[in-house]
Amino acid sequence: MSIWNMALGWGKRLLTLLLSVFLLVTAVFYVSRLAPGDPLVAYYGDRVERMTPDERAWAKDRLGLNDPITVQYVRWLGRALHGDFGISYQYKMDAAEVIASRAGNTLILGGAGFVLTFSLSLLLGVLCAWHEDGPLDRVLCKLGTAASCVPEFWLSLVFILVFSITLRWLPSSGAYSIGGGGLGDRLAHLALPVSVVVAGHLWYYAYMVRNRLLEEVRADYVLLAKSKGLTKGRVMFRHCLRNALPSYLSLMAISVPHILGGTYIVETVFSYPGLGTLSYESTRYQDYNLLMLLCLLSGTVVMVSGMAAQFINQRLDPRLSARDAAGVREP
Amino acid sequence: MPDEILLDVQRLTHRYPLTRTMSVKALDNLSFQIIRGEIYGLVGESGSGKSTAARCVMNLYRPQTGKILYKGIDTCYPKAFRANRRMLQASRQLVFQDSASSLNPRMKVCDIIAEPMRLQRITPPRGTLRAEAEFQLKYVGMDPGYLDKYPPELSGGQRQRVAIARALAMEPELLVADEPIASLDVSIQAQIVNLFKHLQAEHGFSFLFIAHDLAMVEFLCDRVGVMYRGRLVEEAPAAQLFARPLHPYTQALLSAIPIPDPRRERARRPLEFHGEELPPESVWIEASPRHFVLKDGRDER
Amino acid sequence: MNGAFERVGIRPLPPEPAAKPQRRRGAPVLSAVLLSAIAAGCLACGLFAAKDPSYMDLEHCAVPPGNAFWFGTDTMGRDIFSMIWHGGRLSLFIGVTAAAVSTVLGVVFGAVSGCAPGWLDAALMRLTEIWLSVPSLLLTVLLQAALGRASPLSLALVIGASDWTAIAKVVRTEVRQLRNSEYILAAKSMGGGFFYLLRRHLAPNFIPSILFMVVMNVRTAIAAESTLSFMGLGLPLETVTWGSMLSLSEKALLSGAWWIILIPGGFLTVTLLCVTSLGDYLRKSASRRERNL
Repeated sequence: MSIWNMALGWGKRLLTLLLSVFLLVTAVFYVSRLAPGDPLVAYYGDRVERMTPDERAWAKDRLGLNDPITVQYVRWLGRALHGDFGISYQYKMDAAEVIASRAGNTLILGGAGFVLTFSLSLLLGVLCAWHEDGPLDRVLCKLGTAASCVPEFWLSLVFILVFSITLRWLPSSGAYSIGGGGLGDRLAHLALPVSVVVAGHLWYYAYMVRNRLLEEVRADYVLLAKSKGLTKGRVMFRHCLRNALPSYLSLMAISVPHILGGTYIVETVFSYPGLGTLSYESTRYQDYNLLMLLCLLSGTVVMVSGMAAQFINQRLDPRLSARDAAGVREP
Repeated sequence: MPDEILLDVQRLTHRYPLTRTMSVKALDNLSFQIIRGEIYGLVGESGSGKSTAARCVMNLYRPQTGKILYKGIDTCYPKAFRANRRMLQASRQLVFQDSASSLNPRMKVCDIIAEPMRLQRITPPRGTLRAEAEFQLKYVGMDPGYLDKYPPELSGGQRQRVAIARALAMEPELLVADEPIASLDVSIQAQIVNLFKHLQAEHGFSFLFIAHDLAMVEFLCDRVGVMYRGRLVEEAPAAQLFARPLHPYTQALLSAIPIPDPRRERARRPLEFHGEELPPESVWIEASPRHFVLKDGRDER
Repeated sequence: MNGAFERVGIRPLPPEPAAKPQRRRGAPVLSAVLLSAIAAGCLACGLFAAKDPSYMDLEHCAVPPGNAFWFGTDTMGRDIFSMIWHGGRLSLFIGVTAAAVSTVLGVVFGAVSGCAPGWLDAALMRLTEIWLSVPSLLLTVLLQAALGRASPLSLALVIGASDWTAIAKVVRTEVRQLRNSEYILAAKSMGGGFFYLLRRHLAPNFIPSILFMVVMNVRTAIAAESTLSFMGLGLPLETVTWGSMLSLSEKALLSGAWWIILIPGGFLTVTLLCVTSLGDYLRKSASRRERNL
């Protein structure tokens, strides 16, 4: 009974997820086509300016841009359901292939940023909670608020100015030097973008860990644990942190798209060949098919991570899973 | 003086849906009338539909069937309601049971009292809205110093007085009070009931007083209707009802009143009433002049 | 008349002790002063920043800060000192307008959703989730594209329109809690309409909890404007704002002209910091008040 209920619940959620992604894609399709601009520029480049009206009409027809938007939409949807997302006007390749060739770079950047943010924020949060209201806590909190206010693009510029131009320690753009390069070269190129990504997000999560831990420390069971004679460290790590962790993990799951999306700006400033630069280009040059696929992708990531967060919450929090076992249905 | 009927409730039925197929019948064929200038008491155990009746009368709920005629206007009929909206909203006022939740905790007392006047865009007879609020506050027996207080700063009795002042500010013709004393201490209850009696004598408004405290009803009301499971089982002038209750439910209800005399109180035996369902074929008969009772139709035959 | 009052018996209000002046702890004085200084400077920019911010002095491109040009000139020969104040005015305007737009949208949407029947409420909330799932930068770009040519006002509208969901959620939760309370019913029976209820009864209850979000939205909007303009997706180069000033920084990087990057960015960051600390203070004082109640 309980398993059946759960399956039903998740099925419902999956259905709403599909519906949401569908609505999102539909909206983006219409809005992007209403926008002024010439998609032919993306395909033909400067040649567009020398085209005769006839040639333009032919070119538009070839790309299927002459039909009413709804016809275009239905055609796109039909093909997309078969896994054909059309070609990118700019790269003249399958949109999926373009994305596949870039996705790795973004995953490396975002993944590194995510892992670092995750571990550092846990560390800093515990540190601050441990020294609550002490000098270290105060300095870190102030510093964190300040750092989270700095716009990412400007931080990137300052980093480039300091580390690439003045000090000449690290390269300022790209994912690797021309002509390849080894692991060290890749890491050197990653260093600046990753640190900007981490600096932009770290404090928010660290602060959250700190506050969550302090909430736990105020709870009565901590008094009990202390009276049993447990050390501060044991109480903090075995009891408080353990209780704070599920909500933190689910927060992190929701944040996956945030951190991946955060690379959007950073990639653009550092000319890092990832999905961020790609979406920037595709919006700017109206590379419709590419744009649609990117939206589909990001929408899916957002919704899936939301579901993952719910799942984590249910699985890891013993209170919630006990409720599940007792057959209490979710509202 | 001819008895002019101010409020005429006819065969009101209201259900609360529980699920798609099940529902609770809160009002079942409820009919009663209120004559201009009288105090009509509606009593019954909790869950008998008194509050629902009050809210239907105030147009807060729409009954499924039945009519509510106020001055001859069918207020349940949207068109008629809209046509007379201002008059209806101004001349009928409501006092709720729980003054803690019927006054916005973030509004000052003077704003609360002036709210209906502001809403109806009435020019206050005493100059400003504040002066009017001050007058009404004095009228219900409170110091004008409370005008700038917030409801959480007042006691329960004071809050209820403010709620009454708000209702009276509109010079209503019909005041509906939905268990106005149920959430108060006994000593404060007496104060408020006295206040009601005094105000009604001064203003002459008609008053629908809903309560489950029978002693207060006996003291205050001219006529009393007894409700059970959404139906009226007995209706009579107060003195007559308390002297000679006819319906078994009324008898049980009256026997539950504690007597302020320990010796007689000990001898008091509350009656029990087990008529879980009233038989549907019951008939409404006039047992003696103006004394109506719901009789089981099968007895008659 | 007096006799009537005596019968019900008025008990005079006992005199209350004089309220102690409350000391506001942790008020962000420094931030408030800095912010008002920047805002005042931007509003009164005509008085002291006399140079035309859009005049391109091509003989003095990328001049470092000095006596002639206090903050230097950018790569197009414009005086940065003037641009800071004139551009700041626009940036602040966009921030405040966008926050106002998002607040109005959020409050109306949240209140409608809170008052609506269950199915409509669920649908509206699902809609906000979808809205949230579009990356905000992409959303602004798309909306901007749909509105046509970028002007400060249209950009403010777009940024505001992309950032209202958090407020809507809070307002909806509050309204749902309040909508069945008896004082709402009382006001309804006295003839209060939807907007009256919203203004007099609902708003006072949710304003404390959304106030800091509104302030934070000012911050987000200023940051979004600068980011968009920097990437060339917002305002054009000729419209001077802190963001569009920074869009010249790629060239500045090549020539090592640090002042083109650091000075506008510094102003931007300091403003954001001040707004944030104000917002933080508001949030803390709101939650403190709730705890005391």
